[in-house]
Amino acid sequence: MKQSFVKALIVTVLVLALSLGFAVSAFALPINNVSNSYFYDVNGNDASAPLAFTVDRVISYPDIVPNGTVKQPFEPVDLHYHDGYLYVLDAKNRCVYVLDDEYKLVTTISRLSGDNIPDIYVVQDGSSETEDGEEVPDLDAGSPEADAEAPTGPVVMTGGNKFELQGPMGIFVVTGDVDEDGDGKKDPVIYISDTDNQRIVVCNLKGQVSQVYQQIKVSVLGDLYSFKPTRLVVDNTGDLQVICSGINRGIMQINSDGEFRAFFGAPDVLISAWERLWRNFATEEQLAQMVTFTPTEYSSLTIDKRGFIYPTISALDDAAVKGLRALSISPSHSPVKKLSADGTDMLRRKGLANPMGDLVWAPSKEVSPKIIDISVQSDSGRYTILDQQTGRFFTYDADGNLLYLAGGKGTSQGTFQMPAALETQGDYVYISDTTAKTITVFRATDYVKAINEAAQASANGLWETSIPLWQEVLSYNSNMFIANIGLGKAEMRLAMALIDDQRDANGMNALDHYEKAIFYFDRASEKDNYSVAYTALRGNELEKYFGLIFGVIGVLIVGLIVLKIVRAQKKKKAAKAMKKRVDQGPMINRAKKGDAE
Amino acid sequence: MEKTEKKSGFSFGTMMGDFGAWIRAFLPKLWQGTKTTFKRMGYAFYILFHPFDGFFDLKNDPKRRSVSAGVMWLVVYALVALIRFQSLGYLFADRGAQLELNVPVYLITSVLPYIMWAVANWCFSSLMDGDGKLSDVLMTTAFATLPMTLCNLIQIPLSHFLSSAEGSIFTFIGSLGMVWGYLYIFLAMIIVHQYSVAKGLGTTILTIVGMAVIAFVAILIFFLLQQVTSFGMEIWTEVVFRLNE
Repeated sequence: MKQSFVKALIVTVLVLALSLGFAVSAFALPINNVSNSYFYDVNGNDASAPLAFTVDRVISYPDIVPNGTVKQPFEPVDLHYHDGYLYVLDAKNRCVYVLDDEYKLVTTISRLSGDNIPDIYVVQDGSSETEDGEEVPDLDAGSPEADAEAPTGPVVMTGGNKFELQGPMGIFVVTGDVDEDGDGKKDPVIYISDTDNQRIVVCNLKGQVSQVYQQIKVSVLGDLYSFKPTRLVVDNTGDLQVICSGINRGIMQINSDGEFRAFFGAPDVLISAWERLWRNFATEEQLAQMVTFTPTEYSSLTIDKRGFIYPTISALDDAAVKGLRALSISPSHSPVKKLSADGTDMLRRKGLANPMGDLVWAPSKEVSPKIIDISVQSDSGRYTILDQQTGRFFTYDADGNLLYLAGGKGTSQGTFQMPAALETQGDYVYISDTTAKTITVFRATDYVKAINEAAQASANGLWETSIPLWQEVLSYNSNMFIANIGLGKAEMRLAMALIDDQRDANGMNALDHYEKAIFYFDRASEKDNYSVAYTALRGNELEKYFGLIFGVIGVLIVGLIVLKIVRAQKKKKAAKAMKKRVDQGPMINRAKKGDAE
Repeated sequence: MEKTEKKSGFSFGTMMGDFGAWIRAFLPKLWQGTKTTFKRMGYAFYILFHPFDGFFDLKNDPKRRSVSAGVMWLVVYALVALIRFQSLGYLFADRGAQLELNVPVYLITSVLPYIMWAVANWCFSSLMDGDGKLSDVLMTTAFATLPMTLCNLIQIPLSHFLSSAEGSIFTFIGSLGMVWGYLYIFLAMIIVHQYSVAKGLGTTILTIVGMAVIAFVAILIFFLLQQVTSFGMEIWTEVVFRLNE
């Protein structure tokens, strides 16, 4: 009887303890998501991290057009978010879908209208890479005319349906000047780069064309060149910044009247010193046979509120990638840049590595990144890049620190087969996939929201607000060294705001704040800032012990002088004694340099 | 009992007795030797500012000469290098490397170049009618490491006190020790072998080439030995496998 009671007691206690243990562990982990989410720690090693994004929904063609007016699945080549609406550019059905904040179709722009649309003017280079240009001579290989005509320079074709898009590649939306639909808001103006028609179309939501940019005269390119705009942005003054396929002189600037302004920010050419030397000795024929080093083209671009343009390069060769990763070549070859109006690169690269995606690979599985799109959050300077090679998207802060990453290659939800375009809006990230024919909507987790909020507070100089926010980030992920840097910077700013022995609301003076800052910088291996905080603390200590230190030094100097004098006198005495001995007897023979010779 | 004791002529008691006698005879000698070694180590401080006299006397004066003191200086150099590596201030330390420190390997690799220098230099100097013996070169080289040891020692407290903006002071002291030490190694070599400066420079180049050759041969032997041992191991496992069959 008694024994069974004891048994029951033991079992009860055990069960209670176990359940309590589970309950506690459930509390201890803020995120219970099992995933392979990771980021990079202070030493550049991959470390597991809380999940950054969850898939909010995956939009496929039937979701957008339920009735299926067009049977073909779509091909979302570009996305743009503007003023509450997501604009999806469909290259296959050659139209633009405008989705509202619940991803319901508001309108479709498939047919252009307007009286002032000029006829299509298409120039085909002999060397152009379009499918038509290459296939035509192959089919008519026997006919001499086709053979003769295909490689001989550009061919001008006019015609085609000027009211339709043909192979559009990029879309950009700005707020216009007029309010025609009378909803109290200014209507959006949509810029579409109609790539295969070699023009940029500006229209409104109804497809009414207000302007067409084509036949842009560029003196350096001659009269006939194929103008193939891909991605484009429009700045505050209405100037267009366009990436053109087949033109590697940089970004093409076109003003609102359709006049060419300049090329700017051409990517640097990477030539090794050895190749440069070799080229000096090579003959003309040898040079003709060598690989020509031409700058690569940009793959995409975006613009922030202040007019900085962020272009990306996808076609980096392995040598350049290796050099960038080893920090052995200049960052001007980087795949991500931030160009000011005169074309200088202003991107801050203070992070662990150049902002170019993954840092660590399994042995012999290293791949070069292929950064194909970028999106920037103007308020904080935070930007997200999309790597087509790994399918991951990486978000960096304005200093170039990697904040978080997500995505991947695959067929499951939240991974991509062929990611094409990226757009960010607040806590949401939209990524289109041209093979899976989907648009994936990612929503930030609380962890990422905490990081964003904290980074925002730091960027705005709200140091006191940022401290609890960064601490929240650390509670999610103690490896997140950016949080430690943020905390350290905040503490340092708080210290700098205090004068002399002034104490703040928490009863802390400047030195206390500096000491805290040192603690956080130490954790983040942030030596530059650590040094600044340390210098402030050291100055204070020096002031405190100034008298003592110089007293000790003075005493030492006096002591040394006294010692010297005493020694000199001793030497004198010894010399006298020596002289006496020398006078008395033979010298002690010692091997000296003079004697040996 | 008696018989066995006589037969062996050895018991625990006698052994301890012998050992005690040996210890009693040896300890004072050891003590004396240690004392003289430490005394003679002090001559390095004279050499610090009088290299020409100093190295000449160190080689030729039987009252100054001490190879064991030289070896001790190398030991001190290695120890100070190790302590410096582990106790540098946060701003100047390489934390990643500190975490991966292997103490014996670090100690050996820090003195190995000097030993290799001595060996290679002796090899070439005996071909180029130098006066010095291997022990001379080794001893004087070891004594010439003192500037580096001192500068390393000074760097430790400095690194705890300087900010990274003042890091040039830290690096200056490091390079000062390096230049001073390497210059003295060169001077010691010239003085020991009674070379002219030009001949000394030539021998230095040859010695560096010799060091490279030694390193190459050492690595070669290491890998060959590895091959041989792995071959032996393979045969052993094969034999064991066949026997068990």
